Amino acid sequence: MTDQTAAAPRAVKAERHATLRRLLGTPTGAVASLVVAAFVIAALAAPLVAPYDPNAIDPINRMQGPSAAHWLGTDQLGRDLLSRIVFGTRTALYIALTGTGAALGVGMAMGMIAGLGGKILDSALVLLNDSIKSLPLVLFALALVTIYGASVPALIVIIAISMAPGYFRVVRNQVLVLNNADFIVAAQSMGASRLRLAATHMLPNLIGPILVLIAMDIPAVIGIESGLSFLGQGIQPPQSSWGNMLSEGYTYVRQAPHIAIAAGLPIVLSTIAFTFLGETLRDALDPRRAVRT
Amino acid sequence: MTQPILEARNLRVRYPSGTLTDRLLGRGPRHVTVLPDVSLSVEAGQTLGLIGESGSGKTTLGRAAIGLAPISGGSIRVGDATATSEDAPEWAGIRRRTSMMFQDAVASLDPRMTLGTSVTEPLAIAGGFDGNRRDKAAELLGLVGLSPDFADRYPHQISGGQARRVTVARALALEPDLVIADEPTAGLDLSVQGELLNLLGELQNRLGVSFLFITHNLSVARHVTNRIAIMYLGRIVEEAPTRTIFSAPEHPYTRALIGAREATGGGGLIEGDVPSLTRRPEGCEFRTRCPLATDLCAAKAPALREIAPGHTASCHYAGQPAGVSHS
Repeated sequence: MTDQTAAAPRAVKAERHATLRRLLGTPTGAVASLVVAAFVIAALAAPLVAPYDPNAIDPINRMQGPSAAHWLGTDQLGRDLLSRIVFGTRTALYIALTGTGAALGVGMAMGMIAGLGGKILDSALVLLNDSIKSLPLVLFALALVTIYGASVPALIVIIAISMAPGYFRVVRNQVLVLNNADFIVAAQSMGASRLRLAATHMLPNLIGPILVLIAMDIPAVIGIESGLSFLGQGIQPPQSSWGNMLSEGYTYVRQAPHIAIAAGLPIVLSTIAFTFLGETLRDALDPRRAVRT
Repeated sequence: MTQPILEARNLRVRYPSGTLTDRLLGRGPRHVTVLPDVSLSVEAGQTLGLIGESGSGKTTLGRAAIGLAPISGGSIRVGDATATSEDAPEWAGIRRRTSMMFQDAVASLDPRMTLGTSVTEPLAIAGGFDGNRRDKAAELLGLVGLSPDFADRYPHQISGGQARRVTVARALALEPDLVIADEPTAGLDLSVQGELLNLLGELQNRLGVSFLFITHNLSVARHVTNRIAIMYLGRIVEEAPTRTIFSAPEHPYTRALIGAREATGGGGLIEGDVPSLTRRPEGCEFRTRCPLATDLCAAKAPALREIAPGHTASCHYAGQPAGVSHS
């Protein structure tokens, strides 16, 4: 099976290429990656991609359907919907990344401590996270917004708190499994400290499941942001967000249904794309699949 | 004679058992005692074989010797460091001069770490190594007959026999005095087994390392060990030079093990099942399966006693003239 003369660094690169190949090799993986890439580009280069100023009001051309000038039509103030979606992507991804990042940081730290730190600490952290999970998210979010006001930082805090238990659970369970893995016990037998165990042996073996969870969580975060914005408790107009666009479109759904449809489109599309990306990523990162190629 | 390199004295290992509520309510036993009272020593430069069925506590004893089992009594001494509990500060020193090879070689290598990094990890942990880690990895891999380009591979890219060699290389990285080898031939086919055993023998001659060799395979043990200790239910029931174990076994359990090895037919090792660790038989713990068992065995547990110089056994009828043994 192994070729002893193979140039060594090539084997490592080939390994990474293989993961990438498995990710892009399946139709769903390729399409999902493409769509996600399109969203990322739209977010990063919003001013270049968007055909109009997202906040430029044009009352004469308001509530127009899709046309050559306005691909997705205009809203009740005559603003170009495509441009607003593109800038909304920026908002959505910014909140998704910072929110997920914060949730990941907090959840992972707690998970590591619970998994490595002994029974009492573990029980306490499990209790804390289960309590958070038991809170109805929308009520919790509305309560926080009522107290601190609707703002982007408030949104990020809400997302971090509500998403952290997911990362906590995955990291803790994985650490508990790894605690008994032979290679961890082997490192202990060599005298490795807990810090070393966590940093050099646990973390690299946690990255796979965490990446998958991130990809799966991003649509959920986008959903939270859209949902809160729809309820008027998230991103405040005139800054565009998919959620507040949907909310505005909903008001005029009888006269101009294309507004609500256009606003719903990226929510649906991004949710599907990130979910499929997560699923193919999970398969592509499985080391046992790597053996067979 | 010089001092033994490893010495376990009246070692007791027990694991907590039962759920938290069970323990709070005082229901059931709080612990399972895997090793009730084990004393054992490995002489410098020698190989001691630890033989027993699965569940006999041989792996636990191996793990306890490097501080990976909950020690609740007795002590482990390696060199001049003596540890009396699982979290004793002495383990740091002991682990620097002792290393362990695990039963499942592939699983004992970090799947996300290159073999070169794995092999040199003991050096990184011990600290104070300022040479080139790549060169050292190549040197260690060379020691076990693997080419340097293995350093850049991952565990899933190599065969079981190669993984075993890598773990040998890692075990020898710090030039230890003692290597605890847990079933080092498990899962290898016969030719690879032979190669590995020759390699271990050769390295022992060259480096003077001692081995605690844990196995259930008597044929393997016969080839590589100087002495053999037979374990049953967490106790050593017989210990003697390897030749004596095979030529003049005194404990009925040892005889059964050797008999089973020589018997050509299939079938179980000996009659009956191994008793539960939580419900050890009264008196001699082997009497439930022993062909020689008498009332004395039920009434009184036999002590491990010296039958001949360097030969101990725990059986009331050991060391007696023949006749009793073949009744």
